[in-house]
Amino acid sequence: MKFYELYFAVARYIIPAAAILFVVFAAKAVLKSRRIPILARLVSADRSKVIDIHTNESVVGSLPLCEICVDDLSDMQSVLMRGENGFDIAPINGTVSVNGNSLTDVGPLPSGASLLLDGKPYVFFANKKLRKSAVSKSKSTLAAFIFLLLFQLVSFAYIALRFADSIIATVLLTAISLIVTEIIYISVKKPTASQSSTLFGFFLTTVGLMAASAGDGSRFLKIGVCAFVGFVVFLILRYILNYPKLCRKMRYAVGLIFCALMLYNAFFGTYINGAKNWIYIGDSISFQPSELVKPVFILCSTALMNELLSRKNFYWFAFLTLFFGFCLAMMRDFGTASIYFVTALIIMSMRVKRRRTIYMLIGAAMIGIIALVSLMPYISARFAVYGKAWDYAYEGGYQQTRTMIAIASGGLFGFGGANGNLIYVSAADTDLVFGVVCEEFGLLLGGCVAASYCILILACIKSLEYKASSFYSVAGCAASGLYLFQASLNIFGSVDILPLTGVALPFISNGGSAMLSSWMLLAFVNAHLETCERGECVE
Amino acid sequence: MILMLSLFLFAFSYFIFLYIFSADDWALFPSNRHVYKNGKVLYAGDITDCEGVVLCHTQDGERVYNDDEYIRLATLHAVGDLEGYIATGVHTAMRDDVTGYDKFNGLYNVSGTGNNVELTIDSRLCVKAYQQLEGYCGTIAMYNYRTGELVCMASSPSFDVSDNFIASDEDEGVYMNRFLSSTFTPGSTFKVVTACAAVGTLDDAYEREYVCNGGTTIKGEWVACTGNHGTITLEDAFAYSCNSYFSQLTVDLGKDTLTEYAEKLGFNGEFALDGVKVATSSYNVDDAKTIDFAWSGIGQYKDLFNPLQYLTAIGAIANSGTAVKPYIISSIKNDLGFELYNAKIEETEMLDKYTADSVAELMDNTVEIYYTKERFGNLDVCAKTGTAEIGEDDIPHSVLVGFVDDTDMPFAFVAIVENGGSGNGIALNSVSNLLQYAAEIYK
Repeated sequence: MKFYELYFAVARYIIPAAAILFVVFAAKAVLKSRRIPILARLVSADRSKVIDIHTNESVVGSLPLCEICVDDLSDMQSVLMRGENGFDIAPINGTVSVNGNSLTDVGPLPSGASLLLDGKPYVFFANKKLRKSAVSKSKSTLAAFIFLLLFQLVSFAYIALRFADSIIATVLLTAISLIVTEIIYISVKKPTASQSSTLFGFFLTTVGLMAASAGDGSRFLKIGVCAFVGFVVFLILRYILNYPKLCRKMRYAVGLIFCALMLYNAFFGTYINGAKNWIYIGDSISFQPSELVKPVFILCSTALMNELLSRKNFYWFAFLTLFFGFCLAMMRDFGTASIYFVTALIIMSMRVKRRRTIYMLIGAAMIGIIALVSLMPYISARFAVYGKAWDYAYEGGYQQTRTMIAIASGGLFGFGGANGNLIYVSAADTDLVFGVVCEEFGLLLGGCVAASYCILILACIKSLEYKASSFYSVAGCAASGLYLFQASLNIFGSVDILPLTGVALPFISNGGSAMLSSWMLLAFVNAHLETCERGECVE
Repeated sequence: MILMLSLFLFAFSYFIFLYIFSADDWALFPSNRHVYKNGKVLYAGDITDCEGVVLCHTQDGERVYNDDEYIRLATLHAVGDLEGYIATGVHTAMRDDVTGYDKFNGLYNVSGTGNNVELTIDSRLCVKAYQQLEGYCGTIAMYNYRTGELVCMASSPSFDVSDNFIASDEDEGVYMNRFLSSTFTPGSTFKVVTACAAVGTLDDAYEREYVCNGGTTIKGEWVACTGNHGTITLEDAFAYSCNSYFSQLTVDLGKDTLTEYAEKLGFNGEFALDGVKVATSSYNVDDAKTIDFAWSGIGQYKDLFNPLQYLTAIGAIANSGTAVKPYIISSIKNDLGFELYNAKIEETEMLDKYTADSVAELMDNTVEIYYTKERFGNLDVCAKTGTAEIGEDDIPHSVLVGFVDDTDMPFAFVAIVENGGSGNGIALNSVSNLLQYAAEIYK
């Protein structure tokens, strides 16, 4: 018996245990509730209405989903926004005048100002006792970080031992760099609750590296490098996101550049596995614009609340959605197209204040899903076996049945990295990667991966109640929704619960563009959670 | 988004549900290369007999059977082939056990081999039994009616796995374990059931007399007997296998009584060997005319028995009415030597003690006065032969059931030699040879 086999006999229990503890503590950190102070107060002139304002961005109007719901005003009357220098107000469907000056666009709203909303008099008071409180360190995040380190050390040690005579140097170098990077990041950023979202990124990347060690381990180096590039891009994007106005200015330029890229891809791209979503630069470097367009799409679609409700912004958003959808249809990449569809639905639902519209969106989503499921079998032969993979175990259901065989063979704790067989099935490192993770490291780790996406979206939804800024919340929710939807298609597609559409599992599937895109999306999630975390307290 | 999350959680729960209920089927699907190589069982531990003789083990990633050709032939149906054609063999029917699969650890185990399975069979007895059958189709099996251990199981024809054998049309049923998967016409051995019904229900069972004139007429139709026994009672009629006596007795007992006793002894019921279901014995006289019903009482008409079921019933008669369930898996140990499974004795009351002991006595008497104990090497054997008519032009099957009344070797046995002729001939001689060989080992 070889040493690594003996080591794994013990490590196979430590790896999922550490992963579960990491997920539990990280979840505890990002899902923790905070008290929200009263930020301001709106009082009608006759003092019959006193409305407390808890949110940084509030839509005033008669619709029930408005943050400030007043029945005798127009449906979406105006938006109150709180910035660095106090409150601003912007009219939408109603008329606004502040201290006698009628507004057409955003204008400042000082405390004590008298307001005319649709001609009705109000007085606005900002809470002056508020002061910025330092964001405290989170013990849960710290605990999560420690378990993440344990998870990584045990896993990487196994992979290093497993490849003791081949890629051990690469593995050790990657592991050490990754761990050092994490430690520096956490030390610099402080282990606050919202930083647990970044830890999820590191966790999933580690699982991605573990999956990349399957087979002969030849993909390990590439994924390692891409993870670092991804992390750097994450930091850059995260930095840019601190300046929403800059982002707003960039959106047309960036949007149009990627439109051109997608158009080029649609007509001159390279077909791989039935989808034409590759562009080659020279012979060796290739990338998938459709992956990188995901964060760009979100960046271009997100906006401040007053813009979000404007027509101009809607047209731009609709143009992007339809254009990317068209390009993806041209590329025959229907999996990714459905991801854009769902992301667009999420973004749309974020701007909606009418219940009716929300029902319409849900209806559209349902029709979309039914259309997807019922049309896809005709689009490509490999969807024809959906739901009956075992009847076609040697033909169309080959990949799905092999995935289920692999998952069952691995049990809860797995066979050990690079001891699996699934990796030799075509597209195992991308479309079936969930099966590879389960076969080699067990269903428990697979469950932790699935839980990670759920927790990220749950944290984003939960943070919505702070209404920090829709610029971040739209982006954060869209990004985490995109993760979850993509994970659904990947995981359930590979085990025949959904048709196999061939999309990547965020952070884990083999692919440089996908890794880069996953990290970029995490920047949105992180920005959203971090903004919501910056709370105020009463002096 | 909440909707999406809910759908995701729902789908994932559904997946876990599927995993819990189907993961073993997934893992043991024939194309799983953790278990099979080129469709052959690869990932399995040692399979040994009760004496520790290794019948099959894994060596350098290949399954290797015992060196001895006769051991391979005689134990093949117990061990099973590698391709899974022998559905009842350990390799196929007990894949979970032999590969060590469980839902927590999957197929993983530290040393990379499966579990070790110890069988109850004694390969020496299997070889002896198989040799007795050579040239014929049929099966001989023997089990300990006090503990349930199946000590001997041979099914013929067999084939040598090391020859890369591929069955042709002529090799009819080589993959079938006749002991488990076949049913046969019982012939006169069914008189054991009829006798149980008589002893169990009639107060005058032993005094009752019927006349044999080389046969008898029932409802105007002739039931032929092998001899002309004159006026005869149960004891002699059983010993000399008098068709006249038993056909008239059958009619007098009635359909309900005979069906009740047939079912008590396991006809129309489900039997299994370590969870592997066997073919179902059937006794159904619902639509039988009187003459057909009369024939059913002497093991003809539509009567069919499965050897394992009948062996269990004979075991119950030998064991004062208590049937001990036969089993073949003695223990299962994982690669580290931990015992995962150890066989337990399972008992059921099949008959009352009086009936069982009385019929045992009848069988004892049969050997005493008809076959003679010498033919069994002076072992205390109690038995009943049968000559199962299977068609006018075919040679009948030679059938023997019985047991040894001996504390050193409390074995019940069943032997069927297809187209072997009279039960008094080849079946009896085969079992006699086997028992005398067993006596050398066990006494």
